[in-house]
Amino acid sequence: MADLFASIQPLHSALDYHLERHSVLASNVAHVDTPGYKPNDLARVEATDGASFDGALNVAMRRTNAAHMGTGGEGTAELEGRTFQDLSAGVGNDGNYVSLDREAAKVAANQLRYDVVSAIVSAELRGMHFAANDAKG
Amino acid sequence: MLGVFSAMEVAASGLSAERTRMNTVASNLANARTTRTDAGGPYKRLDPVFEAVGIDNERGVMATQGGVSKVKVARIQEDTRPGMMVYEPGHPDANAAGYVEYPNVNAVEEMVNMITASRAYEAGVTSIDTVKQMGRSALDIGK
Amino acid sequence: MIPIDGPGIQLIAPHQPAQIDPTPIGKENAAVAKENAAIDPSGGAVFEDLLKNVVGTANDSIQNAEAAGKEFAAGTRDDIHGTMLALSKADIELRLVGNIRNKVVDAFYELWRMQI
Repeated sequence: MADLFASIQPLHSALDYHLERHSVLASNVAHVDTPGYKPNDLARVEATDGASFDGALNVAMRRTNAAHMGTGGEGTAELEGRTFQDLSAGVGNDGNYVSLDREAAKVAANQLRYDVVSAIVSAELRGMHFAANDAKG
Repeated sequence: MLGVFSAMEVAASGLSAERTRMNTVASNLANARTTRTDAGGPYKRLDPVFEAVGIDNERGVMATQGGVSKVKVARIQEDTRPGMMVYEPGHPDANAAGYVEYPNVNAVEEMVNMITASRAYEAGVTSIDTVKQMGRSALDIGK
Repeated sequence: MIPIDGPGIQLIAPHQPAQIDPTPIGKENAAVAKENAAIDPSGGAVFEDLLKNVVGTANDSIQNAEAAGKEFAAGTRDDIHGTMLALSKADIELRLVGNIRNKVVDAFYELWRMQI
């Protein structure tokens, strides 16, 4: 039964990633006037095959041999993103690298991506719902 | 691919460029009567120089496709036109003949630049909003 | 009756009822099979192939749509309307296949009941 929703898992991760990225970008916007502040951004991590520690060690393990056991059950925490600094907007006189326009555009793009992934999940679940209802809607 | 997100990128670059222009206008207006600078001589008005660059996305820089490009401030250039010479012998920055060179800032010109920058900024914001709407309405396909 | 377009139009011949063969009740199975083979040499396989085709294309559409969704979520794909279109197509084909299946099953049960 677990494989039934295997296609939903990467979409779920993507939604988590976008939500986390929004928080990071919101913090950048809040620090638009902080001297010496360097804005952060979130990059996607390579998807593991679903096995990872519970977040206790904050380490993601990859199964290198199909015969090995997994390290975590379903729904354990996975690393959603890797934080990096985005200094491409240039520095101001107070050492602050935040460009409000760039951050606003990132927020808009991130939000749109979240909405689209959410619509994709809904569409896939609708199809499964139809099939589970014996093809009678 | 030239999609919604590249359009946002392009418009955002326009916003940043216009904001830089606003900064130079503000600097010019604030220093319209500055006769003494660190480099010696009066303040010279600043102008941003824009250039077209290729759009980059998460996978690297795309070549400018069909002329679609971002705008980037290549450098901020000093205007080397001579300033206004005013006869003020008592001024501490007067030269030997008693003339003070004031900055080459023309307030009317700066106001026009400011209005243009402001309108261009608004247009850029509208552009981002519009393309975001378009993306949103695509989500209704098949609903 | 003259058609309103004018007298140049060919008048439609009066309707002839189709000649229906009487149901072969009481005939031997072999003879029935021979008759059926004369009408449809493939033995009903055409319908089977048709069904397989429809299911096949639906399956391809669904795989395609899932891949498109996954790629968009991973950030490698920027095409919003393309992805949504692929998902809608897959949805329609899935419903089509589902409804065809329902109709076939219903028809089967009709026949099942008829025999008894």
